[in-house]
Amino acid sequence: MKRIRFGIRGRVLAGFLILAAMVVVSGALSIHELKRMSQEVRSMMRDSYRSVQFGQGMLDAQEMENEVLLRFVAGDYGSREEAEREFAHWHEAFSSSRVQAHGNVTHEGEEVSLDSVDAASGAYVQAGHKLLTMEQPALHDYMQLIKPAHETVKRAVQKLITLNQEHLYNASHLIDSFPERSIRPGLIVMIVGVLFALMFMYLITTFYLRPMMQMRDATEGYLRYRDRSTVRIINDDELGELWRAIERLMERCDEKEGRHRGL
Amino acid sequence: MRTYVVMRYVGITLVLLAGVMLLVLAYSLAINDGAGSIFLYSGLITFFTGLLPVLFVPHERQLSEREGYSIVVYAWLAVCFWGMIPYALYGKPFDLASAWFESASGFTTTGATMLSEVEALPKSVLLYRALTHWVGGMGVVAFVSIVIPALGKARMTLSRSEISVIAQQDYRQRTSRILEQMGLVYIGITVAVLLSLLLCGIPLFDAFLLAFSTVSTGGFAPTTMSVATYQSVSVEVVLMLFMIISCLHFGLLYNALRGNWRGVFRSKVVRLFLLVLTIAVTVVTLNLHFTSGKAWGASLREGSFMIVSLMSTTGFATADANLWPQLSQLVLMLVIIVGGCSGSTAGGIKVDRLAVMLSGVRAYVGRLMHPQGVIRARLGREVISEEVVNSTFVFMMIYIVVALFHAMLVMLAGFDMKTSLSATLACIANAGPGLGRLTSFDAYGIFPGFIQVSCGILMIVGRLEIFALLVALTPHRFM
Repeated sequence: MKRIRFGIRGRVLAGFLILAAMVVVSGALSIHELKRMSQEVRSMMRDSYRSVQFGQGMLDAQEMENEVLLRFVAGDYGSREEAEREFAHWHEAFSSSRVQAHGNVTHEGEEVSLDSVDAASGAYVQAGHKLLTMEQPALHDYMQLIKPAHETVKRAVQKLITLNQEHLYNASHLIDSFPERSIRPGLIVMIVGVLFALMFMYLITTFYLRPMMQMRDATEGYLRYRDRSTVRIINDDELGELWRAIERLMERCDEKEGRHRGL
Repeated sequence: MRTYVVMRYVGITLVLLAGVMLLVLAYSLAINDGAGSIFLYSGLITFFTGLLPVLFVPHERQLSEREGYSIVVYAWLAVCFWGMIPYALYGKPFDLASAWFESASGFTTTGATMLSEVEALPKSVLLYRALTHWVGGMGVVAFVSIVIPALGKARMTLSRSEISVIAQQDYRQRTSRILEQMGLVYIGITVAVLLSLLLCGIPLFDAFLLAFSTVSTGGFAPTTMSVATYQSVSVEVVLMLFMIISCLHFGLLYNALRGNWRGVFRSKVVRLFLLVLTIAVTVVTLNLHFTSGKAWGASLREGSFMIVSLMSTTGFATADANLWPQLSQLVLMLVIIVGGCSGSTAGGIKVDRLAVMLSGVRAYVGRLMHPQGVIRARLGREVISEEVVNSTFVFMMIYIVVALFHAMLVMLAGFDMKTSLSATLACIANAGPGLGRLTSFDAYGIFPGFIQVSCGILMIVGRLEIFALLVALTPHRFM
């Protein structure tokens, strides 16, 4: 296999390209991490917040349904139909929030929680209709039929809200770690980059700058004192060729001077 | 000393390390555990850093001894430093200090961990942890000798740094053959452990990780509770057997594989190692039975596994030694200090040095009794030179001083003497588990950042057996 010969240009270019590549990779990873995290957090916050809103809507509607039944027991309504209409209106509001919550299931356990809400709500509505069909409902009937069902619905909805609030809390924690996680690739490349730059500087100095200065000194030494000194070139590249050319030049000069003296 | 030559070899090591990271990347992508970007980034950064000196510096055939020492030292430091990048990028529970600690612990085959919940890590990170052991166990030297086709004299110089003077006396071969044989034995033991564990019913992934840890006498396990997770006598027996094998001189093992089994047991060092091991197991078993009231079977099982694990400086655990009686804990610390045999991947001061010191003391006492006599320290029939005896005692002195200073540093951070001393000994001997506030299942996460950093440095000091580090770091004009 033919050995690839790296000249000065190749080596120096490789060094800068590597440095640039490291910066690009670091930047790409930082961007990737930021995007990924912001997507995660955005969906967590948006979906969780909406679920909390729907839960709150269900709770409010549930309280209004309960108020209708209490007022019916207290004899506030002119007729049974009026109470039934209002009960149906608030139950529809409850169902609307419930359906929206079903369409916003994003977390583990949320589906199970909503199933509990459905079951509890169904039992409550049945109890409510039973109370509304009674001839002379009393507080005692409310306490026996409605109150336990009402508490069950409230607990189920509260559990759903708590579940989503926990996810909101976790999302806020994730935001806390944002700066650290997105900064780390940059921080690492900074440290590695400094070491890399020092290494690059050292290699450039050792392989190119110092030999060039030695060549300059050797050339000046020859010009002034005809003193030929050796410069050690480590890499066999353009710099080595330059020094060999200078050495040949010095030899030619010596030969010519020798011929003149001979004459 | 030609710094650029040292840089080239360190660069080659980093390129190889990048290869390991990219291998883990491939695994991460295959199982889709979401940690792929970490290894891609780490691999690229490490590769680019190592590539520059390789491109710049021409191949060099001849190295001075100081350059050889420097290559080994700086390669270890570089590998531990760049090896921490995946942990640092992974984030919680790793910060920069604990990433350095975990990386140094991996590559020096110490096996101490700051993790309190190993199972929470993605599988690719667990694989990377285990691979740091496997790679580290082989040492920088072996990798350099595999990749670079014709080191010639350079190989000789490098290997003298990795294989101490004592190990060379035990098994004389040309250095290149030593390195090839080490490689073959190493891979052979890895495969043997893997197959044996699979036969015991261990899942494939766990078996791989345990195999990497065992042959390198590292100690990283795939679970927080280490080997205690499996509750299997057969697994413990297999691991004990291979931990013992892994801390014998690899040259002797190679000869044994070629049919010369007797050579292993004829070695004075191996006999001393087995004697110390037997005494330690006996003392601990008796102590556990009579003091703690454990049944004979349980005492023997627990005592033998922990003693073998810690004397080989592997660090696997089946019980928390903090619950042991004080005498057993002391024996545990003593066997950690002694360690395995030279020419293996084990840590500690090495049984060889113990043999030399005992022989040196015997010779000295003999000379006191017979001032006119010519009494030399011997290992079997072979005379041990004064240089080796002196260097052994000097090594011990430096070892003790370094350990004491570090223990004091840990105590300054507010930890008790037991925790500080045990953590220091576990790190410098590359064993892993400590006592006191540490447990046999580690969790060095209790230490503050600067202690974790110093523990990582101490692990490297221990792995390089101090002298290589001193030679490499001492300014030339002072020597």
